[in-house]
Amino acid sequence: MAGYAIVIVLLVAGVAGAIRRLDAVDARTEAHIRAKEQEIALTERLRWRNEVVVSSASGYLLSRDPIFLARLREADAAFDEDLAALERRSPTPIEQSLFAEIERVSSEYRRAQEDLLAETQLPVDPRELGEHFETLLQPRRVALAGALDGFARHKQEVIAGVYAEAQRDRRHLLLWTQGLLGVVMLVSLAIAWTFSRQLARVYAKEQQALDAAQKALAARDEIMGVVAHDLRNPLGAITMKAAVLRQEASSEKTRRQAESIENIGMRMEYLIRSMLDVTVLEAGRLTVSPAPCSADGLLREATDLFSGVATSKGIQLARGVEEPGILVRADHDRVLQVLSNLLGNALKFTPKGGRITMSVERRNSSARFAVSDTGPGIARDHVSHVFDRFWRPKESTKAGTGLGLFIARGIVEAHGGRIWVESDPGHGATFYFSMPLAEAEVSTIPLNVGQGAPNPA
Amino acid sequence: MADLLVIDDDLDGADALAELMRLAGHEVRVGYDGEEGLHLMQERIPEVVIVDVEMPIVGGPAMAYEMLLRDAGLEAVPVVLVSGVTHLRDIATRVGTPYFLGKPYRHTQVVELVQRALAERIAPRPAPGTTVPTGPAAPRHRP
Repeated sequence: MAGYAIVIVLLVAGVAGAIRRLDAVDARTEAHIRAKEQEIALTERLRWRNEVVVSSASGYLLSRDPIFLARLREADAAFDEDLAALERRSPTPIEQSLFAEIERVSSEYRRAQEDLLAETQLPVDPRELGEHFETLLQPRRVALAGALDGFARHKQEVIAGVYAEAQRDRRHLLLWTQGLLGVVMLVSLAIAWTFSRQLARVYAKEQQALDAAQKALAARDEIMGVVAHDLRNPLGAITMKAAVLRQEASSEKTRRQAESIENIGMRMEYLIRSMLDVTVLEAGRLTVSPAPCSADGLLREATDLFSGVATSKGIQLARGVEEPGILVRADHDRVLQVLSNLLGNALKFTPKGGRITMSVERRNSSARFAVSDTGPGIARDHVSHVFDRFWRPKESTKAGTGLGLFIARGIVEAHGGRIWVESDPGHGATFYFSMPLAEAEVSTIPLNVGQGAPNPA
Repeated sequence: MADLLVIDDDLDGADALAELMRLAGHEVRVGYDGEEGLHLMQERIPEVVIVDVEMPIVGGPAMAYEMLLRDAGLEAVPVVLVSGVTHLRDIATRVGTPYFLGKPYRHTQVVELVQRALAERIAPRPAPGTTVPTGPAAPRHRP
C-alpha cells in the first residue's frame, strides 16, 4: 500500500519537475533573446549616430557655420559612448573580433574626418572640399555600415541559434513529460486493477460469510420449529401424566415425586416457550395484535395467577388501582406475559414477609404499569443491563435464563411502549412499562371474549 | 360426571388429558384427528369437546366450523381450544368460543375450564363475516 503511494508520488514529482524545467527554459531563452535584441538595436543606433556625424560634418564643410561643428562634436561623443556600450556587450571572441573591425573602421573614418576639418582652416574652395569629402569619407562610411551589419547579422544568427536550442530543449522535455504522464497513468491503472481485485475477493468472502450466517439462522429457526412441536407435545404429556400419577398416588412419597416431575415439566415448557419467543424476537418477527383491553383486568388476571405462590411464600401481593377503567391498546396475552414475568421476578427476589404492589395509572397519552417489590433491589451498575439477552448478575444465586426481561422488553417495544426499572439498592425495585391508551375507541369493545386461563410466563 | 371428547393428534398428550379428565370424574372418549373426532361426535354427541388447534387434515377451528355446518345437535356443543400456538386468543375469537387454554398449563386450569364450559354451555358462534381458518394443518379439508 505505502509502496504504491511512494511510486505515485515519485512519478508525479517527476512530471512536476519536467514542467518546471520547461518553464525555466522558456524564461532563460527569453532573457537571452532580449539581450541580443538590445545589442542589435545598439548597432542600429551606431549607424544612425554615424549619419548624424556625416550630415553635421558635410553641413559644416559647406556652410562653415560653427553650430554644425558643435553638433558634429556632440554626435561624435554620442557615437563613442554607444561604441563603448557595444564593447561591453561583446564577450565572445567572435563578437570581439567583429567589434574590433567596427572600431577600426570607425577610427579610420574619424581620422579622415579630422583631416578634412583641418583642411577647412586652409583657403580651399568649398566645392572642392565637398568633392573631397565625398571621395574620402563615402567609402569609409560604407565600410562602417558593413562592419555594423556584420555585427548585427552575427547577433541575429546567435538569436536563431538560441531559438533552435530552446526548441530542441522544449521538444525533449515535452517528450519526457508525456512519457512520465503515460507511466503515471499505467501505474495508476495497474494499482486500481489490483485493488479492485482484492476488494472483489474480500467482498466475495463477506458474501459467503453472510450466506453461511443466513443459512445457520434458517437452520436454527427450523430446529426451533421442531422444538416447538415435537418437544413440547411429549413434554406436555409427561406433565399431565405426572399430574395423573400425583392424583392417584397411594403414598405421600409417590405423590411428592409426581408433583416434582410435574413442576420440572412445567419449568421446561416455559423454557421452551422463552426460547421460541427469543427466536421470534431476534428474527424481528414478533408481532402483536393489539386490541382494547382493561388495564385493571390485566392486573387482576396476573394477581390471580400468582396469589397462590405469594401466599405460600408469605408475601403480600397487592393491587393499587387508583384510577379504575383505564383501557389500553394491547395484545392481552402478551401483556399478561410481561406482567407475569415481572411478578415472577419480584416473587423470586422478595423475602418472606415482603410486599409486592402492582398498579396502573394514566401518564400523558399512555398507561404506565408498575410492579414494585421490597426485595434487595438492583445495583446501580446493573440497572442498564437487566433487559439484555442472557444477562444475569454474576453473584446471583437464583435460577433463571436471563431471557424473561429481554422478551418483556421485546413485547413492550412491539406495542410502541417503553420498559425501565428504578431501584434503591437495599430497598426494592420498581419495574415500569408503558402501553398506548385505547380510549378513543371506547364505544365498541369486544371486551374479553373469554376468561380462559391465560399463560403465565 | 359428563360425557367429554378429547381430540389431539399427539397421542400421549391426548391420552394424558383424557386420563386427567377421567380422574376429575368424567367419561372421556379420545380421537386423534379432526375427522375421527367428527365421526365420534356423530356416533354420540358429547357434552363438551376439547380440541387441539393444529392437527393434520382437519384442525380445531375447521372442526368447530364443520360442527356448525353439520348441525344435528353438534352446533350446540361447547368447544374448548387447547394449543401452544401464539395468538390463541385471536383464533378463539374467530371460532367464537369463550373457552381456550394456551400450553403450557397446569392440570387444574384445564379441569376448571372444562367445569366452566359444562356449567355455561356456550356453543361456538363465529362472528358474522369471519372466515374460520382451516389452518395450515388442514389442507385437505372437505366440506
